[in-house]
Amino acid sequence: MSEFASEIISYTSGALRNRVAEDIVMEAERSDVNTFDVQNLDLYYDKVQALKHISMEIRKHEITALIGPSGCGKSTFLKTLNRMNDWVTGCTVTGQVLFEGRDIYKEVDPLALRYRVGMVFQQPTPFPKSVFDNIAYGPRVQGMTDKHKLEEIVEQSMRQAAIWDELKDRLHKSALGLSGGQQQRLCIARTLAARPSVILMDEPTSALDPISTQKIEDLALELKEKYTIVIVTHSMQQARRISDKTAFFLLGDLVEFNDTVDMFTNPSDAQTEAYITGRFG
Amino acid sequence: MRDAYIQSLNELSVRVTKLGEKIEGVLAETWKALSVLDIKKADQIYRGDDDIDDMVRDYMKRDLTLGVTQSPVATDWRNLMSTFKILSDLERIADHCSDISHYIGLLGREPERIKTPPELDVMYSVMAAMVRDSVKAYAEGDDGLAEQVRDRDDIVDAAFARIMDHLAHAMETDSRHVRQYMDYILIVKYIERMADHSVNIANWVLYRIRNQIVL
Repeated sequence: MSEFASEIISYTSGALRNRVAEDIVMEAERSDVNTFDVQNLDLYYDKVQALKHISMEIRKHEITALIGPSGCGKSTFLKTLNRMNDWVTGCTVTGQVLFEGRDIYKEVDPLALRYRVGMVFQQPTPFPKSVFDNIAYGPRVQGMTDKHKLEEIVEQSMRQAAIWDELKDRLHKSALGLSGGQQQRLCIARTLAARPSVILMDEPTSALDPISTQKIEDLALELKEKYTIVIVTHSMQQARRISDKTAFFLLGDLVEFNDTVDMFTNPSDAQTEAYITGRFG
Repeated sequence: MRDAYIQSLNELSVRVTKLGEKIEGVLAETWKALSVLDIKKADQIYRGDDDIDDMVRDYMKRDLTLGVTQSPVATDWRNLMSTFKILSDLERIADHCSDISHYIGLLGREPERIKTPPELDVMYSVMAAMVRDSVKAYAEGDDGLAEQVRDRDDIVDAAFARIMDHLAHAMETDSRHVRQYMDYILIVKYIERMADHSVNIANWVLYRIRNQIVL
């Protein structure tokens, strides 16, 4: 069992502890498998089909960008990866989404899944609490009470999110007073504190200025050393700058999934070419 | 739709094609001057090179501006990249016309002219056809024609070797006209380089169409 797995197990408890621990051990044992293997995924909102026969492999320690015009299904697809669509009334999913080899709709507890597959949203969503309490929120919910351990996790998460130097002297001030860029990095730190292996990002920079955007992009490139990242973006420049793989969605179809460099130099599908060169969309 | 951007891309391709056709005309004039050592025509060609430089500079600027302002990708990116490289090769071909014109001036002023080296006309006409077809391949997106241009470079290289042998032998046997033979050596080398530039243009056409870097 990895040191990391032992650490997590040490501060979780009861049924939750077992679920989280089981997943982590599984992850440690299966380091060679893809983070996600999606096979023939169909998703309906009542009778409207939002995703059509999607098959895709998302590899460990890569950044995968999801692009496409509004309403193409990219955010819907992102939310299937940690079962956030479970809360949408009338949403039904068929097909398989394997997370590190296990079917997330049959074999993995959704709560445990969401600890492992964290999410960052378009608008920063700090809780009306202090910086410290925002970041310590996940570990506390997971059962951690050791003050020193919490401090250690908060600092480590803030360092990983490149926000420690800016906020180390404001840990007990309200997170609501931070700038938009700081709030978004705080949310990333909060996600990291829950010890995920995947970070889903849904247009994480669309509400930010160029400097904050650059910081988030630099951060994503650093984080992929330890995490798998899937990002929805409307900025094709952003997809080009940071992603290893890009998936182009259109009207619920996965039109093309390719190495980013290949897609942006020589796309294999005419619809991809038309979209990325601005000829429609 | 990015109408203005797409229109600008298309306009640039048309302008570069017209520049290529203009240089084809300069090549034809250069041969007329070279074949009879017409000093006056050679001087006109020499002075006309500045106009071509201005056009190349203008089109390169347009190309770079589109690259900076529009963040092109895929075919558009390859189009702009290849166009920029092709402009550079066209400019060098025009420069070599100017270089040849300089030596036409020197040869034309010799009181006792030597004969034009054999096969020079064949070598020049193959090279000029290669330039013409490389520009046509660019304009029409014809990768088959670009391949043909590449293949024909062997004909030019073989003619170059034979003419050089002839000139080397002539210099050994006719030392009085060594200076003129040396001028022809430079002219033949320029022709061989112009063929190489047409191959470069063909290679960038292949890159634009096939996304393959060919050298």
